[in-house]
Amino acid sequence: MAEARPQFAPLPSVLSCRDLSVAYGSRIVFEDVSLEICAGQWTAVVGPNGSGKSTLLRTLAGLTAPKTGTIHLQGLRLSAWPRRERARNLAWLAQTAAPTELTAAEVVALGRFAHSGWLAHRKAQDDASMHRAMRATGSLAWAQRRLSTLSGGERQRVHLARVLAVEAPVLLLDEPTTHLDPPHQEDVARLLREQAHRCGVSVVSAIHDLSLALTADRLIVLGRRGVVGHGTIRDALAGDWLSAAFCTRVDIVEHGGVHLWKPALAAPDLER
Amino acid sequence: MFERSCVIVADGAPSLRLEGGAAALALALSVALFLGAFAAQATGFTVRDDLDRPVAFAQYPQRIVTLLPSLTETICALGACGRLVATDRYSDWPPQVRALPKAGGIDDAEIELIVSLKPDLVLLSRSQRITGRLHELGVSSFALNTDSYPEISHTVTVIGEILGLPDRAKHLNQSIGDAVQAISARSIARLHGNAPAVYFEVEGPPYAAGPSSFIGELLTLLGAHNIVTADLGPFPLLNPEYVVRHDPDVIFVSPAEVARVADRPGWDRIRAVREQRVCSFIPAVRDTIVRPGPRVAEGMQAIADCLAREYP
Amino acid sequence: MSTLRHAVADLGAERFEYAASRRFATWLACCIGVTVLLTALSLLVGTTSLEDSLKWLLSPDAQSSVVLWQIRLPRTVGAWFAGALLGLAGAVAQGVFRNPLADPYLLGTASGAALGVTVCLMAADASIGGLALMGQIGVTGAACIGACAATLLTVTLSRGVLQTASLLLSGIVTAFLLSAVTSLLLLTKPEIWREMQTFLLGSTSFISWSSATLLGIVLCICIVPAVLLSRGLDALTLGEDTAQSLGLSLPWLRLGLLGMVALATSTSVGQVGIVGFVGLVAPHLVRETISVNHRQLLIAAPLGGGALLQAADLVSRWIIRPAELPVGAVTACVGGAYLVFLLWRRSRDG
Repeated sequence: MAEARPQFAPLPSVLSCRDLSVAYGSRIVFEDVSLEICAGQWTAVVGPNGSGKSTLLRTLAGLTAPKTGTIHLQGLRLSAWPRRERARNLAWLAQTAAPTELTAAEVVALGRFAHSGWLAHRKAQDDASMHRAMRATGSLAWAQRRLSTLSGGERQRVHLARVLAVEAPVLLLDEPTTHLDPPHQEDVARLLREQAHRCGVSVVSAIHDLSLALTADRLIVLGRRGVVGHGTIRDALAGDWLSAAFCTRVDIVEHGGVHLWKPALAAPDLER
Repeated sequence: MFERSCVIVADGAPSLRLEGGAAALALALSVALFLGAFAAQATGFTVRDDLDRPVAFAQYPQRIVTLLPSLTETICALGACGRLVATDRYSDWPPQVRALPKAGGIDDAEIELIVSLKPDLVLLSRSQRITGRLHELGVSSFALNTDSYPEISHTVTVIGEILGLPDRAKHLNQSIGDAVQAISARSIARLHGNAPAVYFEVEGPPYAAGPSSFIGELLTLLGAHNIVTADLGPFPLLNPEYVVRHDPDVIFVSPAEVARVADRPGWDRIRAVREQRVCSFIPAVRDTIVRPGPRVAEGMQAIADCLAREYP
Repeated sequence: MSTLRHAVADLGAERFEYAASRRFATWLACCIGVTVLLTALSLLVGTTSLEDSLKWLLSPDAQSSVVLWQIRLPRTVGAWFAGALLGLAGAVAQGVFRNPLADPYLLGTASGAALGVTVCLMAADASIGGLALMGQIGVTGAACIGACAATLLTVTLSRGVLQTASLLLSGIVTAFLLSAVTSLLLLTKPEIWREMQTFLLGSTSFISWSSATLLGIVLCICIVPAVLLSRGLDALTLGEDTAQSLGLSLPWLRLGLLGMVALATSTSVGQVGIVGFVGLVAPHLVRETISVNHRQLLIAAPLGGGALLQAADLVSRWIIRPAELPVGAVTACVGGAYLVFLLWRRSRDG
């Protein structure tokens, strides 16, 4: 499917890929994807189930080897980065977290692994990063509690804190708002925006909630067979990428400066 | 009815004279007896085996398969080696049985081979499971248990009975008994009332031969004192410190262990180890000791010799 | 450390220390206490009654000191070290494979060791040269070599340590393959079976001071890198991909840890034979009673495993004295009972 021409933002490109194709065995997930992620921008990846949002993020994080194509991080090929340096510059959040017996503090401390190493000799800087991350996600209160004793939402916030603690210039987040209730989802959105605009972090997140995704700066829309479009929200709406991607009419309304997805279901009959 | 002609002689002495009829009757009787003996052989006999089954024989078996080395040796000792058609794979004495077809081991007898040889009888031990199968296939089997010294004479007698060689069996038992008695007496006499404490280790880590085992019985007959007590059973797995505590005078181990016995923790203090009074037997000799059979005297002699060497 | 505290205090934060929880300290104290008790008991337990042993301790003579200090003490110390090795290997295996029911033998080490011992015994039986060789390396050396060879085979079959699933599968395949070969060899020479039995069922009967020292040295060699790499195991609990994204080198981590498991297991198997369940139960028990991170687990599990095998050794010596049970039979009973208890508790909790 022809992709819209990528808008080259005036900001430097931090993470880019060219002609990326990923396949699991014989099943092709997407082909010939070329993207540029710019610094200080929050990019949301949207698309129907199975369109390859997670796969795209995993490949950009260097966890899945692409069939063809190259990925460049800060101008250097991803495969050329030494492991620890790459981990310091690129943080990835998994969609589903494996159950663990560690405490929240220990999990967040693992985020500093690329900095503090095997012996976990934590310097003041590490502790400061951890503290900042946990405060930002509101998970300070249960620092000493084991993850298995926390609710899904609380766990998610701890994992988010872990990713933030890395203090990497690039964040790849797969469904960061899972399990979170709406107020906390909004908090996360605000946090990501803050990270992008204030701290200059490039955030790429796969979000299934269209309304939330539309509060980002840029959009990558994935369809059944690859990238439908990549650009600002305005570009997405103008090109009606979402309808193309979801193969069905997707209504976006603007309300008070915010774009909302309007469900096509009829309003419930309150008289019944 | 005998006819007797009685002639009364005038001078008064009566005389008995067997007529030809009586003679003919006597002949008939002896023929009848002879035939009867034959008939007895022809109609067969029944012997109970060690599984307490009555096994019927139409005649003395001529084609025999044995599945236990001691049974092979017994049959050959009775001079009936020629009747063997197959043995188990461990039977190796006397040398001529090595040429016979091998029908497997104790737990994995080759049924097909056995049946194809059409034996009259299969001799095996009580614990072998093949008896049921053989019975189904119409092959006669006879179980004999020989785990201890007294059972040897029982086995010899029964086999003699089955083979129709009771005299030879008795003779064999006599000679075995005499030989054992002689060795035992010699050994005891030599010891002058001292009973050396012995420890006999069967193959492998410390399974000791207790007094109730066959080997233990031989040791007792030789006048030795087994450090293992009877309540521990025939082959207990001992705590090594037991041997150290009881400090035997002579120890018997397998050849592979002889060099390593001193390395066992604490064993270098045992008298027998310190003074190198360690006995071991090559496999051929070991076979005579562990197979309760007609060669028991040989085995016993081997033990006695080593005992005499190490405990003068 | 003080600058850290200041920096943290400046931010008005809580302390970020690894939770050296009270429960961990309690577990350590318990294990050490039990170990001391069992060591003392083991001096009294053996072929003599308790009173006699006590008398020996108070008024020793030449023979009793041999029994006490050359036989009973090295036996219990060696058993502790072997149990600690198994507990450590089990904890690491459970971490690397992320399976709380993994045991240290799942790389095929047990079958490899059994095969090594079989070949050694057969060689000893077959020829004088074989006998000499057996004298050189002994059953322990043969078991060790066999176990290492089995691990190599597993890693080769799975073509490296990259995939956990393929490693597990290769381990199973190796175990089956090598046991089949062992069984075939035993068929040709069934006389070795009795010697094999003691090895297969585990035996602490002949642990000398040199064996115990060897076990102790290997324990030290294994525990240091294990504790150093424990953070990697913690990261692995978050998932393999996450661990990789954190900057962990999974292949090297696995190689290092599995190599350590192989070394620990093969040494233990060489000295005490195949003792089951200790490597499974010790770390599992630690995790059930106290929640810990891996650094604590890799200290707690060996302590638990050591105490467990010590206790099993004591029981095996005591129950039918002066005869003894193979120690593996005792650990199997204990392990089996523990698993039944777990099942019962699970069904009770719904």
